[in-house]
Amino acid sequence: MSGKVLVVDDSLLVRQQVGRTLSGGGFTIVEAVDGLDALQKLSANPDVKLVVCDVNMPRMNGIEFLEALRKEAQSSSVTVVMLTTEGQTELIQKAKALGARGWIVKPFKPDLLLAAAKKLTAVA
Amino acid sequence: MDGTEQGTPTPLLQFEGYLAEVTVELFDAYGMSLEHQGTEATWASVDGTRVTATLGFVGDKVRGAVVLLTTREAVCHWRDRLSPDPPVGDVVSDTIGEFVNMLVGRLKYRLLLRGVTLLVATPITAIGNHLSLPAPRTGASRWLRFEGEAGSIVARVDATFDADFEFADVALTTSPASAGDMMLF
Repeated sequence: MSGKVLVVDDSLLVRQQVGRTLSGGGFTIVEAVDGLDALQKLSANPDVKLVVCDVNMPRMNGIEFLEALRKEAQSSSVTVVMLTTEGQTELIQKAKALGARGWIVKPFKPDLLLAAAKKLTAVA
Repeated sequence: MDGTEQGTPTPLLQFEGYLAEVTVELFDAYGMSLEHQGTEATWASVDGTRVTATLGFVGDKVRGAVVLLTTREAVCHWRDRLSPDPPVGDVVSDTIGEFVNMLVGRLKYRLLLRGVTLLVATPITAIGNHLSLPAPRTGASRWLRFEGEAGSIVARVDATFDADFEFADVALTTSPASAGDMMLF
C-alpha cells in the first residue's frame, strides 16, 4: 500500500492532475485549497505520509504552511514537497530550511512526480 | 517614439518581448501550437464568450500585472488537454487562472536571469459575453495577439518602473529552477 497524500493547491485543475497521477500509483488522495485548509486536513488525517503543496495560495501560502507545520509536533514528521511556478533560489532554500524535502516547478512530469512520491513515502 | 533609448529597448518593451516568448512556450509545453501574430495598442477583444485572468506582481522598482484574454471555448480546450477528469465546478475560471499563473511563472524565470525578482499575487478571473478591454491608458503597453491550436489569445503586460530601475545582468551564482525542474533534498 502506497499511503495517503495531501494535495494542497488553490487550483482544482492542479489538484485533479496531481491526484490522478498519484492515485494511479496506488496513493489515496486528500485535497486542500490553501495552507490553512491543509493544516485542518492534516489534523483530520493523521495518516497522511506526504504533502504536495503549492506556494502562492490565498489565506496561507506554502511557505507559511511549512512554518506552521514546524510548530505542530504531531505533524512534524510528515514529508512535504512543494509544487509551484516559483523557481527563485532563495525561496527554494527557505523551503528547504523549513523542512521541505523537494521542489517541483510546474508543469510537472507525471512519471517523475510518482517516482518521487514513492521514494519519499518509502522512507517516511 | 519607438520605445527605445539609444538603441536599447525600454524595460517595458523587454518585459513585453519575454511575455510574447513565454506565451508561445507555455502552450507548446502542453502540445498546443501558438503563433505571435503581432501587437496592437487599441482595445482588444476576441469573438465569443470571453474569459480574462489578471495576475499582479511587484518587484524592486517595478510593479504591474499580466492580463490574459481568450474565449471560453479555448479555455475548455486547454482544460481538456490537461485533464481527462469530468469538469467539476467553475473549470473555466480555475483553468485560465492556473494558466496565467504558469505564464507569469515563466516570465519570472526570464526576469530572474536578468536579476529581477518578482512577487506575485493570486489570479483574478472574469467571464462575460461583452467583455472588452480598452487600450492601455498609459499608451505604453500593448496587446499581444496570438493564434493557433490553443485558440485566439490576447496577452498584455503592464508595468510601472521607477526612474532608476535597471536589469542587473550579472552572472548568477545559482540558476533559478525552471518549468519542469524537480529537485529532492
